[in-house]
Amino acid sequence: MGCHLGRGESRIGRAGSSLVEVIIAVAILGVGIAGVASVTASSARILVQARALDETHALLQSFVDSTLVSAGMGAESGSTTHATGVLTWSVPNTPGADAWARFEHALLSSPIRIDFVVPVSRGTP
Amino acid sequence: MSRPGRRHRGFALAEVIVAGTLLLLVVQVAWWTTATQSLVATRVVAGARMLDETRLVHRVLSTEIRYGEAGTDWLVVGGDLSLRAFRGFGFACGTQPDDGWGVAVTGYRRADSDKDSVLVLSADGSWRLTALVRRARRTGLDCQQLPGFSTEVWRLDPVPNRPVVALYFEKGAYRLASDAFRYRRGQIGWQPLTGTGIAQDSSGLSAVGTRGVEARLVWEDPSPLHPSIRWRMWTRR
Repeated sequence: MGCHLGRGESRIGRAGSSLVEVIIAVAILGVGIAGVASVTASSARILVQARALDETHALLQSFVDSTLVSAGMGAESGSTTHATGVLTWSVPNTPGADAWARFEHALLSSPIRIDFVVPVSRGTP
Repeated sequence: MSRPGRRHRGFALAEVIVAGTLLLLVVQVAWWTTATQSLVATRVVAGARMLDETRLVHRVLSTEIRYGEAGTDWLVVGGDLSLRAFRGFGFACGTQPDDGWGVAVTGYRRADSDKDSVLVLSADGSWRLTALVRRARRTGLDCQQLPGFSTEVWRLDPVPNRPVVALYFEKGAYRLASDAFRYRRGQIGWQPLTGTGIAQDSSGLSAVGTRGVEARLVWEDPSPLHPSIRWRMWTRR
């Protein structure tokens, strides 16, 4: 009898640990899936931010180049709203003076600002 | 004496049911998550490629337009940007050989007499267009020793008067059409510079005033991960 009880306890013990093992396996799998999902979500977020940076770069470069051909905003300072954010600038009409432009992209946590010098060959707006 | 055994078998069956249900649930969630992951990952990879190619288009067009003179060096006609694609420049050497013009040269690639022409700035301040008849490497000339420059002797036609600086270029054209960003050198066919996927109907190049170009680049299947972008470029000359 003692021998039977011993085998019975041993089986119950194995059965109990298998349930725990299943739960642990499920937990590990869940954590793995969540980890992969997190990495993918981070990749997508970084990609969106990279695109926002590229858009900001293209817009600021276009703005700086436009000041050379006087095709800019036509005023010393101001602000315009674009589809992706707000462009603010200060460009004195004096050639050689310090100027700046800043773009606040909706998808970026902080604005990007570029400092430049007003081109000497800049014409009258 | 047999009760404990029966109790154990019943308990094991419940465990099997619970474990089976859990496994089924896990497999279902894993399947769904994997499918979603695959979809998102595919879009991320495609979006990264498009972003990279958008960057390439922006870089190439901005550079070409910035260093060319509007109306003279480049022109937008029918959605095509026809231009002198500058590929390098040279400075006159201090000593000149008898058989040509000695120059210190650098650029994206070497000058090629088969496809390049040369725009020469003379000492009187005028620019003249000449043909590059022949070029050859040369040593022993008194040229500016600058990193990345090599010394060459060019034979130009017509021979420029007191040349100082020269820009060499090939005639080419860019267009955003036929599914890709394409370049045509001379009258040779349009070669793709990017992969396909550009929406033909809504992408293109157009003139902005007399000194600017606007590019509209729309990718097929647009989404937050697939960039569609519009930007303006201006010449600095």
